Amino acid sequence: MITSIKLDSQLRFTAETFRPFSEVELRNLSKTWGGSGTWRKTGCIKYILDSLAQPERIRERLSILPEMDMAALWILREQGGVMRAGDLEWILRCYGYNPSGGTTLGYNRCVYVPQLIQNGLLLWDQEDYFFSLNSRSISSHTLVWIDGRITDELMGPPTIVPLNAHPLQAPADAAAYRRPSHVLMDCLAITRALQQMQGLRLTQQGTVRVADVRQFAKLLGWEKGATYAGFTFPNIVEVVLAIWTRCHWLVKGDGEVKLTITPEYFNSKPFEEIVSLMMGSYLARPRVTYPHSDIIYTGEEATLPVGLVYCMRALPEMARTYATSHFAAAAYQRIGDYTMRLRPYYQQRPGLAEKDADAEAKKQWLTIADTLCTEMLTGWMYWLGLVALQQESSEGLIFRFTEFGQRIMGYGVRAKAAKKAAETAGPAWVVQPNFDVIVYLDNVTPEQLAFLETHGERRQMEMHTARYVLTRESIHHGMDTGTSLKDVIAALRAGASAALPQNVEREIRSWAELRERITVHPACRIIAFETSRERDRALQAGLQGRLLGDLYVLAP
Amino acid sequence: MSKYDAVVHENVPIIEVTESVLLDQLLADPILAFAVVKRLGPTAAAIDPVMLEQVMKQLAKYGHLPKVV
Repeated sequence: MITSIKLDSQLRFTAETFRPFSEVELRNLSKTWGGSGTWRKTGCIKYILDSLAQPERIRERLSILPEMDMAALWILREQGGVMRAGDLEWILRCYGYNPSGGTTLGYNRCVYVPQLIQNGLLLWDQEDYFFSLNSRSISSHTLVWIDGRITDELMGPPTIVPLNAHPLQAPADAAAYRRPSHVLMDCLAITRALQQMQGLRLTQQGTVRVADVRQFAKLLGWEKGATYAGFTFPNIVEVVLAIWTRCHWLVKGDGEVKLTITPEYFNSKPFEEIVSLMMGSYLARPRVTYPHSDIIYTGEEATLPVGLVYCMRALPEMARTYATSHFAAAAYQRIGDYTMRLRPYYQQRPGLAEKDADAEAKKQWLTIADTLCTEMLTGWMYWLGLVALQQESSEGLIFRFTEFGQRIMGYGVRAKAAKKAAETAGPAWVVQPNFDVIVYLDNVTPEQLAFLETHGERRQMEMHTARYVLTRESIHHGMDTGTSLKDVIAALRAGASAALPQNVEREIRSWAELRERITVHPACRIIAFETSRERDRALQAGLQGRLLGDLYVLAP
Repeated sequence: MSKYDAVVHENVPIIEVTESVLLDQLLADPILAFAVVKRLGPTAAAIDPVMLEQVMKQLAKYGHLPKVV
């Protein structure tokens, strides 16, 4: 999506990016950073770049920005610094702002984003789109981007205007949710399944072969769909493969889709960061079943579902419980009318202002929003452990954000929560003499879980515990990933905070020794010599390698 | 630069054991013996690449889980 912008990886404004501007335009831009506005072109560029190199000057600039501008910069920061102008204005609208004011321009034009550009905060994809600083509007499809040094200085969180939604009084103790450890275990299992299949084969049309989809589903026990705590995850295989692809964990090659990560990837960075990436990838195009409507037109299929998720972030108290029907009604107040105005003019109802037509349109909108919310909540958002759910009542599905979900979806609570998680530590598991490992999911760290997923076989998963079994195959499989016997014993001991049962330790040692007896090199380079004298001469001359026999050398 | 009478073979699967007697035992199996293209030394043998999967299965059948590097 952003490949057409030629930027360095850190997203920085440079002299090159300002070159297309006229002297007058650059004077205006330099004025926004406190310049005198009297310099020549190069002087203006130098002044702007000097300002961006000084964090205190950026902070000073940010301190006087209105709340909507600050929210816009936060949204850009979260999106990696680049996004479409229309998406930025759409999210602002979900956050309770009115970026297009009283304009009558359609959804294809943005009138607020140009102001941010004129204020020197954003730039646009100059190769893709002609835009002048005097223009009143910009295409909603145009990519706009921000210098990372500006977003680095944002002090949060942004102001989100609370949605007019009332939480339910009923406590949510009975709600079902997935712990981050459940999510991690499933991510590891999916990646291992794809690793085992050595990627997925494509048809000539570029879709994944049905046989591979079936095999993948079978490996994960999803042949008949997936249901978690009674909640159905629609199209789970399709959604998961789409997310893995969008996260670049699966990459399309010549006739196949290849896995670019190993299960160890999930151990390489904070799990919250990984889940944020997965949620962000989902929002790029949520795979939801879009109910048909001749009243609601959202420009693009993803617009309304994405808007609803951003509206959830505007709930007055994320930790409280809400019904989807109440939430949809509140979201309607904020974005309902706008989404209906998005229809092309030839589809617009002349009688929208008429009360009857309004009532019918609203009814349809609420039904669609409720359906979309239910599908997203019971699907990807529940699977990721972001929401706790209770079965549907007369008011619809009942949901609240879990602590983990608040950290992912909320703006200011991440650091605090991460610190709290780090403070809770106790024995992560008990290793039993029968080789069972009972894991306490409240205590286990993502790193420990990744270790067990690689070195044990998961047999059972409950709300608070999981049961793994150590087998010779699983230990060998784990050691194939590069861990030594010493690492395995040390990790098992550390997780148990105690010595291992003697028979378990003895057996693991003997499995490791057995493994060392035979080594298979699947593809190596062998140099065959005519005589051993010739071989010695080559080795003495500096040939690198290991002797395999009188005449053969295994080259590195 | 010196020249040597040698041939370089690329992408050759090999099986390597810690003791020569173990390789002798393995080669007593007809399938494994058929898969071996050349015994390179007392403890190493080159395998037909096409037979690699079958070799792994046969080793597993005898209870061996070799280290794959």
